[in-house]
Amino acid sequence: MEELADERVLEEIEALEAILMDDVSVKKSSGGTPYLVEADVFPATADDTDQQYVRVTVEVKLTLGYPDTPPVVVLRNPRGLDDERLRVIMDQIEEKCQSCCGDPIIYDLIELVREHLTSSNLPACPCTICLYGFSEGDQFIKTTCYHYYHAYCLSEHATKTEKFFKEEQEKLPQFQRSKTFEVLCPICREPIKCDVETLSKAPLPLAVQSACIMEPDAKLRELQDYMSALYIQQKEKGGIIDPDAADSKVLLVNEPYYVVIKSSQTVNGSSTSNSNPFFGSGESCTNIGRAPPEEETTTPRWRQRQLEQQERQRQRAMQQRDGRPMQQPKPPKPPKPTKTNDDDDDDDDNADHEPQRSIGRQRRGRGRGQKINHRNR
Amino acid sequence: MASLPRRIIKETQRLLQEPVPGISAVPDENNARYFHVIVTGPEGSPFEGGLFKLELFLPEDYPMSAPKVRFITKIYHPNIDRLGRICLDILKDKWSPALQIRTVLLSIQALLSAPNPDDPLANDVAELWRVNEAEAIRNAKEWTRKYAMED
Repeated sequence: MEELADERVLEEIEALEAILMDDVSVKKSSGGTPYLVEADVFPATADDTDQQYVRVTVEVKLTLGYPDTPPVVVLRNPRGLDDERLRVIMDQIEEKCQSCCGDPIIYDLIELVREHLTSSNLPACPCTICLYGFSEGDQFIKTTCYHYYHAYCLSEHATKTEKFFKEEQEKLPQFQRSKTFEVLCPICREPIKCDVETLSKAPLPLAVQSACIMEPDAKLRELQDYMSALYIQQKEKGGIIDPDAADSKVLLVNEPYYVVIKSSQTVNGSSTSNSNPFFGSGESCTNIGRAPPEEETTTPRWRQRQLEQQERQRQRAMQQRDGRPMQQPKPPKPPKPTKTNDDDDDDDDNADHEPQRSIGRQRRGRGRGQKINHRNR
Repeated sequence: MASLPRRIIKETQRLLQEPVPGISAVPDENNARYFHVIVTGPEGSPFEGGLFKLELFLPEDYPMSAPKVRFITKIYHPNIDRLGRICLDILKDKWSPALQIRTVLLSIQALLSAPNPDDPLANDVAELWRVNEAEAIRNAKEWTRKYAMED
């Protein structure tokens, strides 16, 4: 490090400190020669910090020959900026440094970064709720914990958690209830202040509206085939959880109660056999056996008829249980792990029983295939 | 498939393009909300070497509600019951929409590395895990070898 600082440098630093004040910090050697300049850069928003969604720290290391040789510039602590945008900024900084040799350029560099941030004052990280980015025109929120969400997405979250909170409260005895509900940040669980009513008026994020549809490809099919092959293999080794066996014990208990609808015969083709008994019951220990409420009402009438038919068959089968005469287990080894197998695996383990809220005649078994049909119509 | 939420499509694409090591999640051909999952037993755990099948279903209001997940392959674990149901807070009241299919499955894989017999779902397993951990681990290994390993 030169003992005697270049006049031009000293003048430049003085000017920087006068203009940027607290936003800049200069490190100097013991001899008073500046060697490092750090500046926090925000977009120009007339000092409205609520409107500043991005930021970065520019670190300028003054080389020995500066300003006749270019300084070394590093961008640190970026917020709301992705790698791509940082790379564009860095490229322009490099260019500037090369083209302005001999002139003090720190202020110009900082302004260059600021212009960038101002022109794209949008967080580049995606909204963690919808997984899509922020587009011009989207309404979004910067939380006090510096996380970004579309207003629309956050309102969905707030509404849902408030509903859940109220439901949980109602289950508690009066003295255990707490009155205050707080929306928590989905990322860090810090309480956030937000006005749900205003948020809920926000439109659907633009990127979400225009995203494309996925088509299954050969690779996906291959994976699906592998999955069913492995299922068959484990099934043969007795490694697949057999709901029937589990049921015979569970049935002795009041709750949870599982209706076994024996239907290896497959009602109306394979699509009906896909139902999924356990969903709704992946609950934590305290709530085993509680079924998801939404599904109660959604069973179409035709499906109920099918279920009734299955139930009758089940009862017949139960009567003959000792001999197991009617429904033989499936043929031991199906030829190929393709479609047939797939059907069959669902028949057997997933399809035929559903967690019940209580012992009763109403059943809610329904095919996986149906589920998606009526849900996604 | 047309009205499948964008987020589900995005997650699915990413799961297929950049799969999480040791985890495979593949949508069902008939139902894009239903995933066939394989979680490999974590190294150093009694489940090492096992390929555990799970099923995962995204409910109507996903991601505002947690996915429903259960093991299909038999597994000897104090927090997983006989029906394959999993005791995990993020699947219940600690769910957050910032979590994803991949993070849920990673948490489940982590649960395999860190069984917690003090918060049991399978009582008999948890009991043995508490009083005779060595034997419980032996059982877990045995089940893994017997049910979850490829030939």
